[in-house]
Amino acid sequence: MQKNKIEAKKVSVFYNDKKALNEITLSIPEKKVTSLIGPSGCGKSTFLRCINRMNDTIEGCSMTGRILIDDKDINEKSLDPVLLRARVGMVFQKPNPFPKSIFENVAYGPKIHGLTQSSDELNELVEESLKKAGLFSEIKDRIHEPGTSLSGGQQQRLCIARAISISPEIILMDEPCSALDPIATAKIEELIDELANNFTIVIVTHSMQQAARVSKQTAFFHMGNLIEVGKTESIFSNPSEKKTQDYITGKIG
Amino acid sequence: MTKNFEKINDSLIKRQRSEKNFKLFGLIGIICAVSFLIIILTSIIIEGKKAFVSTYIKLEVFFDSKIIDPDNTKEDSVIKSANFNEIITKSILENFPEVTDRKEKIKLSTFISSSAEDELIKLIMLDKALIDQKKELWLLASSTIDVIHKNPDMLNFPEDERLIDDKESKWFQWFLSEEKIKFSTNKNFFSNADSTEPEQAGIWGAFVGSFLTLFVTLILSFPIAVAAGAFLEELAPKNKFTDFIEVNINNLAAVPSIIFGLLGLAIFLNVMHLPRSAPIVGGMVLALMTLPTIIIATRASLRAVPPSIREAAIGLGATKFQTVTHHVLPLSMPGISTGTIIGMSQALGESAPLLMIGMVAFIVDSPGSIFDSATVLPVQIYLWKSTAARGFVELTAAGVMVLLSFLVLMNTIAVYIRYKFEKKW
Amino acid sequence: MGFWAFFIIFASSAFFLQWYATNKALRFNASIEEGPKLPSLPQYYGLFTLLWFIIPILSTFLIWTIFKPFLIDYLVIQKIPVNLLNSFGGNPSLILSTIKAINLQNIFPGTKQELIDLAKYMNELKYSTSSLFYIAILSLGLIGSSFTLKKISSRFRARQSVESVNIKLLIFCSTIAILTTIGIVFSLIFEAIRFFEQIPFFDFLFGLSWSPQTAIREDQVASSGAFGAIPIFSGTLLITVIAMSVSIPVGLLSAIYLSEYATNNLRAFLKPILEILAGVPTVVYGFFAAITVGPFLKGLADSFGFSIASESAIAAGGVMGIMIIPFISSLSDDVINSVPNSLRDGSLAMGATKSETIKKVILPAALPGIVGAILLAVSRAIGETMIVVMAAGIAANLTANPFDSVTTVTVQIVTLLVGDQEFDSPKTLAAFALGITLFFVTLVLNLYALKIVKKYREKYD
Repeated sequence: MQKNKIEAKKVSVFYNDKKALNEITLSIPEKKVTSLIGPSGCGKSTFLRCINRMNDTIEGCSMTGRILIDDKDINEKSLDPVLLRARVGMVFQKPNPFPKSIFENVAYGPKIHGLTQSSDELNELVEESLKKAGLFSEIKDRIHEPGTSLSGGQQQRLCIARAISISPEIILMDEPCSALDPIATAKIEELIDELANNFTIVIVTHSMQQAARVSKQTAFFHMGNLIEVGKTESIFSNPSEKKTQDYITGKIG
Repeated sequence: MTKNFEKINDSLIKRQRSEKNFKLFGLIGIICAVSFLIIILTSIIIEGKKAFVSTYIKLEVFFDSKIIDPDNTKEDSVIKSANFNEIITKSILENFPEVTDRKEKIKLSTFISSSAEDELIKLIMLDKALIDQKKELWLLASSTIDVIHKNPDMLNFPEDERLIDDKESKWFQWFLSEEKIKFSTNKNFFSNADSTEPEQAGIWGAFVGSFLTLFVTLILSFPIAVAAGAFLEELAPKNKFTDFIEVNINNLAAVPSIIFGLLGLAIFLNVMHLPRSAPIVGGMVLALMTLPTIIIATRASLRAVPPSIREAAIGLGATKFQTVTHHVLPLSMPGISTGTIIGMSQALGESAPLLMIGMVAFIVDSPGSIFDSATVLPVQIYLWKSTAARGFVELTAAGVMVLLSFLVLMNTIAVYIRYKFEKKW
Repeated sequence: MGFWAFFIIFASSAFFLQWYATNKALRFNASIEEGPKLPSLPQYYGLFTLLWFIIPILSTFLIWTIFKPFLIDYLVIQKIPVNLLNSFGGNPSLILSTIKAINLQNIFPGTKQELIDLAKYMNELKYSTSSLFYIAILSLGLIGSSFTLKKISSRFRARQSVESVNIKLLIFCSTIAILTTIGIVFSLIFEAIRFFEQIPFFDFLFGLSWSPQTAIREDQVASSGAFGAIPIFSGTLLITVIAMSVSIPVGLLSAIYLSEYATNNLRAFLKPILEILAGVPTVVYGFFAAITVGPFLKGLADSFGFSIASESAIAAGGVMGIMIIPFISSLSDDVINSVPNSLRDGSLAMGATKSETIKKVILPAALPGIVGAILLAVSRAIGETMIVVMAAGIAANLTANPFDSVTTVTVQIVTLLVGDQEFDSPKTLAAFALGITLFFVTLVLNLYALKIVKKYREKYD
């Protein structure tokens, strides 16, 4: 029986008085890739940021409705967002490695959460994360050089390594390939495929081709509303809503 | 994964506590900074507001014709040179018939300010019928009495720390009990120039000096700085020479002000032999200091004007020079004015370079032109602070209040101009 | 002819000439039925005439003002009788300064008659030449403008000429900044060299004892060791260190709170308040330090049983620190704000707390900018004059004890120059030697700080 890792129930988001998301109800299955598609500005990223409560950092942003992870409400007063974000990792649209060495970038998470006892453990953990992100072989001789000296695609994989270093259960990806060239994109899509074995992945993408390639479930957003959600194949070959049909065929978007 | 989760949970409490502490430190930083400001302002106001009132003593004055005009000449010159000091001394001694010792009589006479004589002369000149009349008058008290009156807890100090000895203390308290001593507005503060007597000293001289000096600063620095700024921003080719000029300007903006004073001393005074301590020299020195500020403000304002304005003008056939002078410069005037006012207010508060060019002398008359010796408000404050007489402390604080009020006024005007006239492109 | 008479004639002639030239141009245009009119607008012909009237007059005036004193000195020296010269040891400049010190309104009894005569002669020269001069330059201006009036024809493009003159004027204005720097450097170097002719350079730079007053006794001119500047440098250093230890924590913490924790409203309210600290004139800080802080600290120390100087380094340094707070907080705030938000998001998304993000990501990223800000603040502290003049001591004291009284470079410059003005004595020249040291040190600090901040900006823009 497919368990739902994340459940969103009637989630609405307001930026001061402007409504950005309208009563979204959506379930995200465990250890699968779900993609969120839709035209620019339709609220996909806003929704994504609700899941790890990154919207809390934006002044004037408020949310109604509930989001449950493993059946627990993440906005409950007693739940520390710090803990939440240790379980939910995020990769951003533009790669944002810290101005530190590659090693320090990946070691950042484990260090602040106190996950390792010795420096040997830490080295091992960093190496493992870099391997899982498919970056280790390329940089193993220059692991102490600045993370910003890498190419765009490599930087993004560094950010992925950084995110998985603390073994989150969920990884959120906000258009992770939009700043990359096709070869780097292909590498990352391969990576996403592998990661899906161990992590629940939610990916926002404005490329329908990408959604079709990587995800099992797709949700279509439009102007702050969730129009349709279902198996990726059916959404693309046989959508039930007219708007979805229009978006896929390029009439809107 | 749950193993991780436990580890994370364990360290969480410590981390959140350190987060709270860090935020608290930041808040403490701000609170410190703001409290410093409040403490400084309050201590100045507490001391300074005392200077706006003076102490007056009520005496019954007998305009004895034997002292004023013994030969009954009725000549003005005779009356004016009469010994009014004796008249005052006699009036005050009337209240203390038991005082016979000459030294003690002198002590009593020093209760009244030396300027009271001039007041009496003026009264007689206005109404000669007062001669041989008795009149009850409130006369200005001397600075020592003024200080005691304003700081009554000094009466409890031991004698050598007080400013008056025990006898004088008793007399003072007599005046208090008879209600023959009062506070009234300090008429001298705003109308007189400097004086050796604190109760007669005022800031008018320094005020005029500041005005003249700033006037020179403005007419020298504003045109040159706007011209230079316009040239560098709009018309100059980008080459090594103009880069060098820019580096120079940025450096001059950070040079300590006293260096400009040394420059003024070496060149304006010693080479060009301009008059020491005159607003023209002070103005020139301050103009050099203010140039970088206005140049930088001009360039920033010019940069804010969108290129479309320039393109439109050139498209109509204007030369680059005309574009700048007819179109761009007028549009950037609000920003330039704001920068100029801020530069002027910085110049108003400057004292170090003016000390170097000699504006430390004791000036009793307010300057009549930009070539006369003068002093400025901040230097006057410095001079008063360096004087020993206790009565100058509150004057210094009051001078500070006047200076700060002007600065607040100028900065408010600058902010208003910026708010009202600056276009948001 | 006095100055004001000259000025009135000058100003009215200028107006008249400009009006006349513009008028002439208008009439020229009106008189042409066929054929080319004037290529530029009439007002440019007026402006052209005006410029060629004003510029020759003003430049000659300027040059004359600069060189007149030298000329007069020279003429007076020619008139000095030989025996008088010998009685002054053959030193004409000594005679000159004596003559200049004579106040003809109030002659000091006992002054030599020859000196009085020379003083009267000098006075005459000053005032008589003025009239001649004014007439001469006015005529020069009129000649210049008569040429320009003749030039009004359809072949003369006045606007181009006016604009090129104007641009040259602008260039001149721009170079005033350079001239100022050159002026500063030259005047300081010139006097400092005269100082170092009398006091060896290394004695000054590394000497340990500073007492300029004792060095001008007859038998002890330029006594070695009396101009050793080390105690002064150490005093400046001590006060700067105290100032920075107040301003860096308060400034940095305020900046962090303002940029990371405060709401937008709070920030808009608090930032100007901090700016006010920067706008208070330094003489006010000096007053506060001397009248309030100094006695307060002394009283506090007394009540605990130990005595400190009433002009302690900690009083002056502490108040200077308060003055510098806005330098650090404002610049650091800008620097912290310019760190891109993507870094903050990246760290927070990893589950870091805000303070961890600040301490481990933001501050290290902003560090070069913050260091630049601190260097600029240090340079400001070193060059600060009024606070230390009013609240720190005058006696040079080589100590690291913040409760002692020390003196700084700027205090010494003021003390040495605000007293008597025998301009050539090593005492007054020492002020210039200190001045050039100060200028040089602050220049290096500023250049380095600006370089760091520039490099930092390039990284993030």
